[in-house]
Amino acid sequence: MTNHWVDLKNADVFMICGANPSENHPCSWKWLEKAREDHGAKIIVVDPRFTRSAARADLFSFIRPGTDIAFFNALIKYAIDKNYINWEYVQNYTNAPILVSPDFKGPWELDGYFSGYDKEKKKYDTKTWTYQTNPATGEPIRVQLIPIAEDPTFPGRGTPIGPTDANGNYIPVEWELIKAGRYDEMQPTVFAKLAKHVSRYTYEGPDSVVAKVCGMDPAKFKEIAECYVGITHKRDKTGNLMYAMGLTQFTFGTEKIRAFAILQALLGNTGLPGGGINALRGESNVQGSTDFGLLSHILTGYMSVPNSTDHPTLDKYLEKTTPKVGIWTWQPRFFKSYLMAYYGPYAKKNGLDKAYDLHPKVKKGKNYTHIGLFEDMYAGVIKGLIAWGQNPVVGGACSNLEAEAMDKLDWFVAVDLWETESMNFWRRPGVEPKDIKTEVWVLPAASSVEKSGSVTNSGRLAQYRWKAVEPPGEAKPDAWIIHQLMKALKDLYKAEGGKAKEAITELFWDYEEDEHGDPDLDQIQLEINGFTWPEGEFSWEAAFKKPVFGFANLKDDGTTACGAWIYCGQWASDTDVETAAKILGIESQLPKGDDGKVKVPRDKQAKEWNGIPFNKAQWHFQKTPVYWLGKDGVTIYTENPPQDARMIDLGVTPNWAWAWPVNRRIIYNRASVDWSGKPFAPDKAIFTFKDDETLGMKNDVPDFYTQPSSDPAFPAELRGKATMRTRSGANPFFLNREQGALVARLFSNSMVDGPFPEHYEPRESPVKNMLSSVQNNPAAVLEWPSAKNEPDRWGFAEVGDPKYPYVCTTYRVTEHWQAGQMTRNNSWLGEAMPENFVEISKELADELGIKSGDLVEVESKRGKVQGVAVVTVRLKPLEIGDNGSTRKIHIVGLPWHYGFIGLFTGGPERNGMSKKNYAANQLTPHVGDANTTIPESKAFLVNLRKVK
Amino acid sequence: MANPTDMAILFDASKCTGCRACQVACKNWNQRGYTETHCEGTYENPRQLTAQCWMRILFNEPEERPKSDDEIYWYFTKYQCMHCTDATCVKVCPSGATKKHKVKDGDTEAYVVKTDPKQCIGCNYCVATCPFQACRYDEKEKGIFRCVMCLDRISQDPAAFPKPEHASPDLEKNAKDPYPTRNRPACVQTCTSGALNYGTREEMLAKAKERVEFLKKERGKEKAQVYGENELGGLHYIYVLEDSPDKYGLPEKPTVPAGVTIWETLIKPGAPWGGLALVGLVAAAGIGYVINKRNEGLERQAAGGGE
Repeated sequence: MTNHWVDLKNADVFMICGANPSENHPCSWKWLEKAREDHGAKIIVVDPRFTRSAARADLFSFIRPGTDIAFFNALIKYAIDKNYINWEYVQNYTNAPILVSPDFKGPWELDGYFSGYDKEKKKYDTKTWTYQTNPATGEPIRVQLIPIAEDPTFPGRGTPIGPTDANGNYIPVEWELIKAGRYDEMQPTVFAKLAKHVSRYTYEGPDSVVAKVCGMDPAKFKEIAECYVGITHKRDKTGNLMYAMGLTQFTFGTEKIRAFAILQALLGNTGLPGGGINALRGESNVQGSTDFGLLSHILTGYMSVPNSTDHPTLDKYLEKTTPKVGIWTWQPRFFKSYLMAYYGPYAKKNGLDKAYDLHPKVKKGKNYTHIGLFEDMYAGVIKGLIAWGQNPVVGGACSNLEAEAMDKLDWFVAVDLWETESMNFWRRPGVEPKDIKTEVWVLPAASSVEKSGSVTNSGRLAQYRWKAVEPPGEAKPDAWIIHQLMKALKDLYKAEGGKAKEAITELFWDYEEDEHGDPDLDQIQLEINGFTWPEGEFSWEAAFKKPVFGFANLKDDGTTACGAWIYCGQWASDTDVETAAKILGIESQLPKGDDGKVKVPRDKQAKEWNGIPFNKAQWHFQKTPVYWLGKDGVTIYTENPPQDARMIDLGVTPNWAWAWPVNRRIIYNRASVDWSGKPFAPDKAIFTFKDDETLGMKNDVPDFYTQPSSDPAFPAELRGKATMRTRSGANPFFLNREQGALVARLFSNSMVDGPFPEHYEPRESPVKNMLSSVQNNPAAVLEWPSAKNEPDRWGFAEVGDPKYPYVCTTYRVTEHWQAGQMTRNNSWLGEAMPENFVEISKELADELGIKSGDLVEVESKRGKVQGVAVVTVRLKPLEIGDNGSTRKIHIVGLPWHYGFIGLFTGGPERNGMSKKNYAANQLTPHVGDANTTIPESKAFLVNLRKVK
Repeated sequence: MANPTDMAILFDASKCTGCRACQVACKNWNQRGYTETHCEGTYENPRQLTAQCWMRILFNEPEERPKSDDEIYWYFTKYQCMHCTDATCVKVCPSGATKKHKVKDGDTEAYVVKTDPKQCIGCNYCVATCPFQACRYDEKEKGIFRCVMCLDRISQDPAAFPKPEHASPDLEKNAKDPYPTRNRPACVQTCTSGALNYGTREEMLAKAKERVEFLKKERGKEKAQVYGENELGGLHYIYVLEDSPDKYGLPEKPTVPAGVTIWETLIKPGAPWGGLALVGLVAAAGIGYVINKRNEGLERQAAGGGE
């Protein structure tokens, strides 16, 4: 989330697409209701099904699964056509005014491809997806899309001076050309290219893309567009996107999010309270797991994973991965501190270069994602697997294939709370246990209430949870398991040696244990946060005396260690303790050093001072900043408000737990203030710039350069020419690291499948792509070896395959959790949602003679699953364009929680093993997104028949 | 009529997301067991209240495809004992096991309807006659069970809050208030979307009326209405509905059956006119009604029919 959960209450319009928060993130809904009650916010739901979220929405439309890019691009076109654009934001804070390389060509010229496609390698060369630069400065060239009083230091930026239209929007310089659709005659800016690109995504009439591709009613589209775009383009209104796997689990999932991010930039919605792009994470700690490098392409803090070809040495790695501008220019500090956390003592002795040599590197071009790994297991390359809180036999894409891949393993270790289908893959329905030679171990784990530690939620908020009860039986906390495993591995490598032995034996793993063998969590937390490496021999006592406060203080010379730079600053500094002490009213007790400044004692045992924990994830000091808005709706008071002023509480709780980076709750927040320093939305103000050099109000941690020009850190070349306000305004998205422009990107060369989002059909689709002759995302791997070698078992239905006529989508329900172990073993939840079911429309049910409650079977090219028919008007056949005519497409939905073991399996039996497997993922294809390889589970083709 | 200071629960259907956290929280707090269920072609389950399931969410949707997608609805209703002021179950109870209970001392009126299993003789008259079909008899526990508005929680009965077994010392040491607000019914406490509220009937009614006005004015819900204000002398569950009660699976005009009134005033053991022969004829009608209803109710319960 760019924003956070409580901040949802500040939105004016919600677009819920590919998510179902009232069912799957139920606690979020109270903030939506609050927004609705407080200021009449509107909720829009666009979904293939009328969900429990739709039941509470103001506007709802059906959409065919997998056509959201067409829908979002049409919304962008709507915004451009109507001039519903926050031009001041677009001109100053996005790359829209930058000139694009003349070599760039788009799908409108190349029939569905962008320039640079290599048909043999099935990959793009992105070198034409670039800006035109000023040969003298190397800076991207920005032009004026609207008339502005240009800041001489920052070309193309400044305060708008042009006329406005009836809606109060600035009229762009080339409005006549835009209005006439003559985008080719415009200056070749990102904006002109975008306008040309989305002009193909029509929304008017029955032959429009919106009607024929998405299956939406054009009148309903207009109502939705007028609500979302028509309201939130206004300077003081914000809208946000709430999305989850319903958008991402496609071969073009990442581009869908890009499409909406582009719309948000045009409307000026990102960086403001109530705005942004909000990924609703599927588990309480998914954000935490990606922060800590659980994905295969990133290390902790989103640093790139080194590969052996491009990054053979530390210097090469830093050279290739460090950009020239923005926060990421500090990558050498982050990465070297990270290396110290991993190999500190070794690096002290042998240098950081040698330590880097020990760090594991991947093979360039190899795919290490879930799909890639299971393909390798299926091919017999990978011989062992640890599934830690994961149940691929239920949750993995094409789970029949993944179960067979596990058959080929030598050993398998499962760490989980309950018995899972994956632990029992060797006796799943249809296999003979004696045929499977895999050795299986099960490690029982403690649940979240049976251990202490922090989790990081969707809002990037790290919160500590104390253990409530002791774990049952032999169950152990994850930290215990991994700690003991690592110790055992180190001993084994020391005793027996092995490949890359030193990578393990030299790993810095020095946590102290308590009597139960649990590692010291505070030591782990301190290492994550960072500390100055002690002189001489390492000791925790010395480390605890010198924590690093904030990643700006990390060093690139091996004198600091930091496990995850984005978490640097979670450990409370003396100033932080002082802040909390003031809230608690114990300020007078603060110990002072010789210089009269607060100095809190720190030693090995010190975890807190006077009830103030040093780990800010444990903070519960709730003091919410508030301000007052004058009756004129513009004047902001931070103190002594007049009587008629309105108090505003944005729900920022800076002293409740801790958010990365540096406790910033809303990222990109410079964009909440216009070029001249005034908040776009006075009733949602985060900052005011008092004069050119200081901040007036400060409701959040600034996400921009805050040094006044007198500060030594202020760049010398800008001194006298820029101020803190103009410098930060010229670089508002300074976490972006692309092509020397720290702005929001409507056009990007960081994607592998195109600088703009283009509609392609899902891998399995009932119809041909109406927008071009390119059926599927050309940059995605459309056929993994399993499908290539055994197309009859793991392959795909043809386009419009009559054997598999229906589009199927999968989803979750409130009552169950992920692959189901935690909920299918709970009788209270199980009785509420006892069996696998298949949702079908009344019309399809009538065609097939199916009644609610009948047992039906859903079949894809890769498997069969049974469930009880839920016949409903909440699903609807959609009229879709196909080869010049229209065709009725039926949509079938099923939850993916069920399996074959537990108190509730998904079938009619209770408690034990079922003879059938009820996992919806037996049907899904083994293909994934071009950028992330997340599997395409939300749209594939099936057939359906009544069993009884 | 109900007393304005009685405690009541407000269910705002316009905020309910049908997540069923209340259904589970009810079972958790009141330690109810499992009822075997099967998917019957709807999200709704269990399909009826049982002695193990004191409240459930009804999922109401149109049977036939409406003309416009705008007319599709999915209404969620929290369904349980309504704690009626004119409580049929209290009227018919021959043993005095079913009574109105005070929530706290000093209340002018009681208001939780509860059956004491020790006094219950298992006659099932309340099961038979309840206008909401919310009373359920349990053969094993030999008693009538229904929502008790978490009387132990709301009356702050110390026996209801024992220290958890295997409690970790960490919790009490570190968390300032390890057990947050426990003076509200479990369903209200757990509600994720703010659809449930608990307070005096007066407050809840005022809130409900204000909300209905808001729904009419701001959200264009012309049919929005309060349910429970006057029904059966006033329910202790107040509903805010966006549409007519029948769309929510609620009876439009719940009434105490006439036979029950006759039974209560004339025939029920201990009734003022109980022993008098002159009412014989009318009494026969009353007895007949109650006994018939009881048998019907038991059959229905055995057959697994819903309300």
